[in-house]
Formats: sequence, C-alpha cells, structure tokens
Amino acid sequence: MILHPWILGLIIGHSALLAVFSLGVINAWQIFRGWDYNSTEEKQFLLEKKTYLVSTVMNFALFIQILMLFLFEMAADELANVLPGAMCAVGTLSSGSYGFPLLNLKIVSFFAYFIWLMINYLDNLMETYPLVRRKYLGLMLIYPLAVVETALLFMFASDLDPSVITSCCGSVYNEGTEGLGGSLAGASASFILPLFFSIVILLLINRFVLNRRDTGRKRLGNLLEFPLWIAFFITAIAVIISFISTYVYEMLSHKCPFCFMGAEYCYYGIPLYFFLFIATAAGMTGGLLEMIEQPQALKEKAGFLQKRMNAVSLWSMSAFIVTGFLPFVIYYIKTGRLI
Amino acid sequence: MANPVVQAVNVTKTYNRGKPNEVTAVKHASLKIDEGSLVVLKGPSGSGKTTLLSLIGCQTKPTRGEVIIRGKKVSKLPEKFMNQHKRRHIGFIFQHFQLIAGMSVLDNIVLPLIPEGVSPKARNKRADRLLEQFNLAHRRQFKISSLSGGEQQRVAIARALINNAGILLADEPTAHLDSKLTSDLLDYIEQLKQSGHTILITSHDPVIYQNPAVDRVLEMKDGQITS
Amino acid sequence: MISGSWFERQKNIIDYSLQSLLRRRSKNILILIIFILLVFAVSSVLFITESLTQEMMITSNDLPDITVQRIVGGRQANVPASYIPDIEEIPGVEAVETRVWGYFYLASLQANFTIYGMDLNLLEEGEYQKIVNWKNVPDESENQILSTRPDFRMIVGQGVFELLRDIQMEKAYLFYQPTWEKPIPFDIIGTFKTETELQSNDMMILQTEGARRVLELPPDEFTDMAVYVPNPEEIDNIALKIRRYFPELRTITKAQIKNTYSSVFGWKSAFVLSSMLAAIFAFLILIWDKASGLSPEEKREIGILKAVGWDTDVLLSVKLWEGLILSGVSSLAGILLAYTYTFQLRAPGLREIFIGWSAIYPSFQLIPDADPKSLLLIITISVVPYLAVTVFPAWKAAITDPDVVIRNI
Repeated sequence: MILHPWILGLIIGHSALLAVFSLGVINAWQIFRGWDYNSTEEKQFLLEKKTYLVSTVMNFALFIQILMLFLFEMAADELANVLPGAMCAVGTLSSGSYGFPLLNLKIVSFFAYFIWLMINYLDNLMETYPLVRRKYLGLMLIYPLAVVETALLFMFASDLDPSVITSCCGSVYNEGTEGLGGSLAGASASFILPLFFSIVILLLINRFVLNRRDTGRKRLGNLLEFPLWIAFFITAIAVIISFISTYVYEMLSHKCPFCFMGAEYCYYGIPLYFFLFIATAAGMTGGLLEMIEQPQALKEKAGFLQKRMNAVSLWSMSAFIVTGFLPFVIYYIKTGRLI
Repeated sequence: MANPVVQAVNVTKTYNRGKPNEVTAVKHASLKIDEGSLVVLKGPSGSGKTTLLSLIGCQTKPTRGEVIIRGKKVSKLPEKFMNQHKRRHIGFIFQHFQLIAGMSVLDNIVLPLIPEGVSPKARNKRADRLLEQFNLAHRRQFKISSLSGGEQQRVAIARALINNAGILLADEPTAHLDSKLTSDLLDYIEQLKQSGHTILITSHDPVIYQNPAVDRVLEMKDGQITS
Repeated sequence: MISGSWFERQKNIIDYSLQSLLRRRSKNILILIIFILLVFAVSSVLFITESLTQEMMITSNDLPDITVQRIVGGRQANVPASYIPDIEEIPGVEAVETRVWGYFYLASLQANFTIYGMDLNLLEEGEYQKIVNWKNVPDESENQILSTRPDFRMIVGQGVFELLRDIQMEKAYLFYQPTWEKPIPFDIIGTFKTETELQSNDMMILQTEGARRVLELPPDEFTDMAVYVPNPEEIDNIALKIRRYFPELRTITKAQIKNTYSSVFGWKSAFVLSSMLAAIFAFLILIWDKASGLSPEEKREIGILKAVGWDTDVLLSVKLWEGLILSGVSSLAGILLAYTYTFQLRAPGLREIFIGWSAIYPSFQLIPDADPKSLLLIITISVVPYLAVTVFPAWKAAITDPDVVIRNI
C-alpha cells in the first residue's frame, strides 16, 4: 500500500460518503417499514421528519460522489508519478485489477444517485408522498453500491505497489492490447462513429416523432429511451477514445480519455464529460419518468419534470457533440486533411 | 351567508400517548369561525385553549379530527404543505411575543417572508408600511432587547401581519400588559377587525371578552368547548 | 402573497445563515480557530510536498537516462573502461559518459561530502560559467602555485564554502586519509550560485585528475557510467539488455529515480498527515458535540422560526449553510496562511522533516505553485468531513416542534 496524501483524501471522502449514506439507509428502512400516511401517531410525525434527513443525506452523497469522481481522476494522475511505467491516470488505474472497476462503479453510482434524487424531488411535490415506499426501497437497493465502492477503494489502494511496473495509456489504449481498452481503441472510428450517430438519431426519432404519435407508440418510444441513453453513454465513451482523442492530441497513437482533462489541454475534458454525464443522467431520468402511471396527479407532475429533463438532455447532447467534434473541425481547418 | 374560514372538526390532542405521563389537552373540540368575525376563547388556565389555538394555527397536528383553514384540510398534510398554507393564511401572536432578541425590529418583522423567497427590497417595503402603521419607524434597526414592552408587543403584531394573512390568532395577548397597553391592543384589534381580518383570541381577561367588538365567546373547560 | 424564485429563496437563506453565524460569534470563534489551524497544517504539508516534488522533477530531468553501476560482492565497485564500447553498440544508445565521483569524509568538518571529478576548464566557458561565482581566480601575476597545480583545483557548493570559511579554509582545503603519506591540498576557485542549491549545496567539484587521486580511482576505471538514450520508450529495454549482457552491472533509470523521489515525498507527507488524523478526529468529535447541544437560546430561536412558518427544510438549509460558510471560510484562511508559511517564510520546521536533517540546510527557493488540484484535496479533507458530521445534529435541531415555544416561556 502506498502512503500518499491523495489516497488519504480518497479514503476520507469515501468514509464520509459511506457514513452519511448509512445514516440515510437506516432511516430509509424505518420509514419503509413504518410509513402510514393516515396515522396521527407521534411515530408517523417522526417518520415524516426523517424524510428530510434522508433527502439531505442523499443530496450530500451526490455532491460527495461528484467530488470523488474528480478527486479519483486527479489522484490517479498524481499517483502516476509514484508508479513506474505510469505516465497518467490510466497507468495508475491499470495497476492491479481494481482501478477500472472502481471507476465504472463510481459512474454507475453517480447516475443512480442522480435518478433517485429526481424521483425524490418529484415525490416531494405531492402532498401524499405517493412514492414513499418504493423510493426508499430503491435507496436500500442502491446502498450496496456505496459499500462495494468503499471496499474496492481500499483494495485498490492496498494493491498499489510502486515496485510493480504498470502500463501507460499508450499501451492500454493500443489496438494491439487485449482487454476493453484495446478493443475500444481498436474499434476504428469508421465503425464507432456511424453506430454513435445511429443511436443519436434513434433518440431524436423517439423524442420528436414517436412522442407525438398515439399513446401506444409513445409508450414504446419512451420505454426505449432509458436503454438508449445507456447505449449512448457507452458509444460516446468509445467515440471519445477512438476518435475525439486522436484530434485533441493530434496523434494517432495517443487515445487516453484522461490526459485531456489537464491544464495542458485547456481542461478540455471537463466540459466534454460534463455535457456527456448531464445528457445521459437527464435522458435516463426522462425515460424512467415515463413509467409513472399512478396516481393521475403524480403522472401530471411527472410529465412536467419529464419535459424539463428531456430539454436538458437534448441540449446537453448537442453540446457534447459540438464540443466533441470541435478538435476535429479545428484540425481539419488547420491542415485540410484527416489524421 | 357568512362562510366559515376556520373550522375545527372534533379535534383531540393527546400528548405522550401510551406513556405514563399521557395527557389529553383537547377533547373532541369543534368550532366554526366566520369570515371577519372576532371570537374569544375563554377558560381557566389548563383548559386547553392554548393547545386548541395551536391546532388551529397549524403549529401542531391533532391526534384525531380535522382542522380546515379556508376550505383546505391541513391536518394530514406533510409539514411542508401545511407550513405553506399557514404562512399564507395565518398570523400568530404569541403569549410572550417570542421575538428574537439579538435581531433588529425590522429583521424580526420580516421573518415569515424569508422562506417564501421574497427579496429584501420587497419585504422591507412591506415592513416599513407596518412600522409606520404601528409607530415603530424610529425603532427600525434597534435590537429587540432595547425596546419597551409595548413596543415589543407592536412588533409581534406587525410580524403577524407581514404576510397579509386574513386570519389572526392571538394567545393571551394581554397577559403581561398593563391597562394602558391592554386598551391600545384592543384598539388595534378593532382596527384589524374592521379591515376584514378574522380574529381568534384566547384570554381569561374580562376586558377582552366583554368588549363590544367581540362577536362570540366560547368557553373551554378540561379540553372541551362548553359553550 | 408574493413568492420569489428558488434563487431568491436560497439567497435569503444564505443571508440568514451568515447573520446567524455573526450573531453567535463567541460560540463559533473557537471552532473557527481550530479549523483554520488544522487546514493550515494539512495545506502546508501538501504545498511543501508538491513544491519539492516539482523541484525534484525539474532537476531530475538533467539526470542521465540510465545510470550504470558495477556490483561486486554485493557492493558498488569501480567500472572499467572496457564496458564502454559494448554498451555504445546497443542500438538506441546515443552516448556513454563516464563519471568520476564519490563521497569523502572531511574530518575537519565532521561530515560527508559529495566529490565530483570533471575538467574544470569546461566550466570556464559557455553556459556553465554563469552558475559559478568565481573566486580566487588565479591572476597570472599573483599566485604561481595555483597555475602550476591545475589538477588540484575545485569549485564548491555554497554550503560547503560557508563551512570552510568558518574554519578559515576558504582559499584551499587539505584532503587527507590516514592511509596517505601526506594531505593533498586543493585550491578553491569558485562557488556555485544559489539557484542550484538543492543539488549543489554539499557538492565539491574537483579537477578530474585530482579527484581520482582523492577517491583512489585507478586510471582506467570510473565510478559509474551515464548512458543517454534519446527515445524514452526504449530506456527500459536498453537497461534490460545491459543487465542481461553484464549481470554484474546494475542499471537505474531516470524514471526510477523520479518515482523514488515522489514516493519518498509522498510517504513523508502522508505520514505527517496521518499523525494529524488524531487531532482531526478529536476536532470532529468536538464539532459533533457542539452541534448536538443546542443552547436554550438556540432552541427557542428555532422554535420561533418554526412557529412563524419556517419549514424543517429551510431550517436544515440554514444550519448546513452555516456549516458550509464556517468551514469554507476557515479553509480559505488556512490555505492562505499555509501559502504564506510555505512560500513566503519557506516553511521553517516542516522543511527539515522533508529534506532530512543534514549538516547543511539548503536555503533553496520553494517554487510558489499552488496546484488547483491540491485545493480540491484540501477541501475534501476539511469541508467534507465537517459537513458530514454536522448533518445529523443539524437535522435534529431543525425538527424542533414549534409547539415547544408556544407552550413554554
């Protein structure tokens, strides 16, 4: 295990997250078990008060999770100085087997927290809190993610060994290398780009065409939205690795998705990922809101929220595409050819 | 026909249910108060009038029964919605004024408007109007602790009025006042009644409940309304 | 009743939180001070680590790509010149340089110093001339001895020079080992300028021939070799090849040295930080305690707010904003103090822990370079735990029933 201030920072951050989330889950369980809207017992009043605690806790958890995503990437970058062979975050993440799974889990957690918070917000708009039981059950199902994350973090940290040589992004994202990184990089742009745009087109069709048809088509369309956004996210990452990175670094062999988060590249990665994450989160939420049918009043409110989410996801998606293709356009204008 | 603006339907309030110190402060109380009327709730101390006022004022929820304010049943509402309704329709004057000592007069008066997201400019404008009305303009920035009893009373009333609520509830407002301040208070109350407010006061002071402006007097004893 | 937007509401809440904090100044002052001290300590450690690492990185760039040493009987031995052609032939190797250097214990100073051998004539021209404060430069007319002993000249680091000056040996120094017949005098013809202090402070550069004598190095042998490889990706390969061809040779790459430096600084700073954990923990417990116990004053105030129509939501926001403002301001203050301490005052006290205690304290310049990344780390270590600890007490306070205030005095 490496003793390093960034590791300490990650551990402290995650401990805070887990502690706070645990507090939330205990109360969520109590509310789930004992909630009775019609009761006038003291107990019910207390449960109602506890809903505020859980809401606050989860808002805080999301905030920490976002912070941790940044921190994790930065830590990986800093730790690269200590690990032989690692030249950027990717090197740190590839040493040992916990780096990338941890990152992936964090991303999943981010979306899970976000969606939960949106559902929570929706529920709180109604006087009768109709989704109470379901949402707290959902929370209890999300909780294991946080536990596993913290465990993975500890394993990741203890696995870091300065005497073991790890690979750098050049070899991880190399077409010849085995593994997901290699396949994502190897997936040539000519394959990924059409795939990506097909998904974008499907989403747009869904949004503008199917949405205006009769309810049958609309339902189908909207049910598809959730999985479509997941596909969007994954292909977007593939596009970043196999295409966008090439034009940011202006090198065919440098495909690292982390290096351009830094100062040398004008922090390009930050708006890029920001739009991607927001678009996906809002899109998934919008798709999920479609499934809310009862009661009628809730369905209406869900409809309004869905409209807002849809607008956000559409704009963010466009912003992502523009930001993503900017380096390509700039390069093409500068040199008049492709890499 | 006058419409009831405040209704209590068979409300009961029990504290510490199931514990050895269980006490039922209000038992099956029902009342209706029409728009624009001035009602006094009288009774000895311990009769439950403060608790009943609390229930009507949405400060606490009944163990049984329902409270209806301007047609909306508030008793089962989650706190958030109940508070919203309370802020918009009810002004409360407490027995001991309950002002925040370290804050200025102005800050105390505008308190109810803060969670509503009213901008400082807008709320100060309203507050200044009230300060004028109650002769407190010269005390605008003074800390509460430096005010006399009478001035504090006026601040408490101003605070209850800042949200333009139509319903005013006052709990033993004259309990700690001398006769001069008491008659001042009655003047204010009469003015408020004339401007269309609905007012409910708890008091065991005859000066209050024997006042000609009072439309109705209800008596409470042992948690129940007896007349 | 006019109702404002969400933004207005938040502004109102933040405003109230600020006022609320100011109203209870005395209670919060203690927390503020301790918080600032803790953030100050953490930030100083982080700043110094970063700065030193930066400096190390810069100076390390001048290291050879591969340093080659010979190990005999488990200890470092001289490297015969015969290796040179074989290594030069390895594809990818641009050049092989030989080095003469070693440690020498100066009895009169009771300390070890690093001795390098090089041709001092090279320093007299070109860019190297600028890094030396030339002293006692032989004026042809003056000291004949100096010009007749070109093999026994040396240039020393500032720290060495000052020590020698203390024993009145700033013009010449006598090297001596008990096994020698007689001491060998060296003339000091210059010192190194301050910019290079971290590296040069305890260095002594002797004319090669003289150095060989002092280090007892036979004519055709060297202390070690420096191999230069222009393509960074081949360095590890070539190092491997060298070790394969000549198992008695040990290779150390530039990257390995950088890693080691980073590792050591990282370790040291984490160690210091960990030892602060106990203090941080105690602080958190203090916070919890303070936050949990509401004075009757505070209870009353919250009761009044509730009675006047404030939601639990709003009250919770207020309490959390209070925490955020308090911890935010403290963090900023702590960071600024740390910045001043580390870069203005050059971290007295902390410096020694990181550079290591030695006979000479380098008076290097710490490069003021606060990486925004570190700020994020500091905030994570300070603000996040603080808020985490205050969430529950804040909630407990916020759920006070207005009833409490109505029925009591």
